[in-house]
Amino acid sequence: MANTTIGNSIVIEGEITSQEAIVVQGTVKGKIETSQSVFVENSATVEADVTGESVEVSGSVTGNIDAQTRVEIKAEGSMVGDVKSPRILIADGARYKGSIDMGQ
Amino acid sequence: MIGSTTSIRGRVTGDENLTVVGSIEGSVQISKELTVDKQATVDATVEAARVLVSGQLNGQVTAAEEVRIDRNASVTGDVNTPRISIADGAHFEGRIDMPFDIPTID
Amino acid sequence: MAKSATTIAAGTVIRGRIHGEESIELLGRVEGHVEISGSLTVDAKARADAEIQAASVFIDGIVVGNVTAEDTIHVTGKAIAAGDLTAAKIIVDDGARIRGFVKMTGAPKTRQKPSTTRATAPAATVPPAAPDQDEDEPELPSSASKRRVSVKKR
Repeated sequence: MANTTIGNSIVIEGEITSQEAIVVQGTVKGKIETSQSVFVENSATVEADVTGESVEVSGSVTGNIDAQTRVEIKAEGSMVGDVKSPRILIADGARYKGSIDMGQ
Repeated sequence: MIGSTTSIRGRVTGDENLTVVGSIEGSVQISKELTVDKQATVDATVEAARVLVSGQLNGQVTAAEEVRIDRNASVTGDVNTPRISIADGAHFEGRIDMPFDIPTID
Repeated sequence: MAKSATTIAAGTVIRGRIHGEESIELLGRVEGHVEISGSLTVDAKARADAEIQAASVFIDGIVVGNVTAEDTIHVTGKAIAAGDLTAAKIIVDDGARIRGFVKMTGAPKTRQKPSTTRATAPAATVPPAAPDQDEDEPELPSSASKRRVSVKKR
């Protein structure tokens, strides 16, 4: 699997730029930018603006998400920030605060 | 060859391979290969084509071709060479300078 | 947590500070600072322009920056390491390209003298000298019978 995985105990303060899927299990503060999907897993804390093809949030995101196709905030996920995506799914149980822009 | 009971203080020059089993203090300048044997001690400025160390070498080393530091060797000093290897178990301390360019980030 | 849970893939660039309690396999690029309690592997096509601190560092690609490892730094025959290397044990394979001060902090296997002083401080390794030679000036060929450890100034 050619994914970038940021493990549980890892803290990144800075900028991730990628052409692969990014799986965050740890902490990222700064910016995440990829042409592929971003997975913010249960254990993850993301304090960053996230740009990706699609973004799936099971952990915690503070920051804005800009997705090409889809954003999903799972039941165990929480997010504070604005979402820009043509499709968005907020599961029952998920916590979300922010504004949504689905385009036209 | 400088035998195990021989120790030289001074300057050693030559155009052939040299194996030190004893000890040298001073300087070594040879056009070929210097071998510092397991039991040998060289405290010298060394200039040679190849420097192969199994023993102890303290001093500045310039090798036109190669430096090889074996697993039981101990080398202290700065090394200038285009090719180097340091085996697992060897001890080394000093600056290594090799001729190469750091690739630019593309 | 010694598993290499963290992978930085080939198309990924991370700029900034990375720290954590695990190992990292770098296939892409890192610029900045890496400080982990596990090991770092810099893959053949990977590059780290970073100050690195880890338990062990395996360099098969390019590292520009100082590397400090608790245990081992291994520089393979395809690798480039430009920067100071400090570790208990450092292995350099034939073909590696290195520029920097290399210091092994592990117990040296010397029979007589400890080699733990920096090469730039040769005075510490000079035994009691003849009364007329307290100076540590560069060695001249004619004075070679006097024992001097002559090292390049850094």
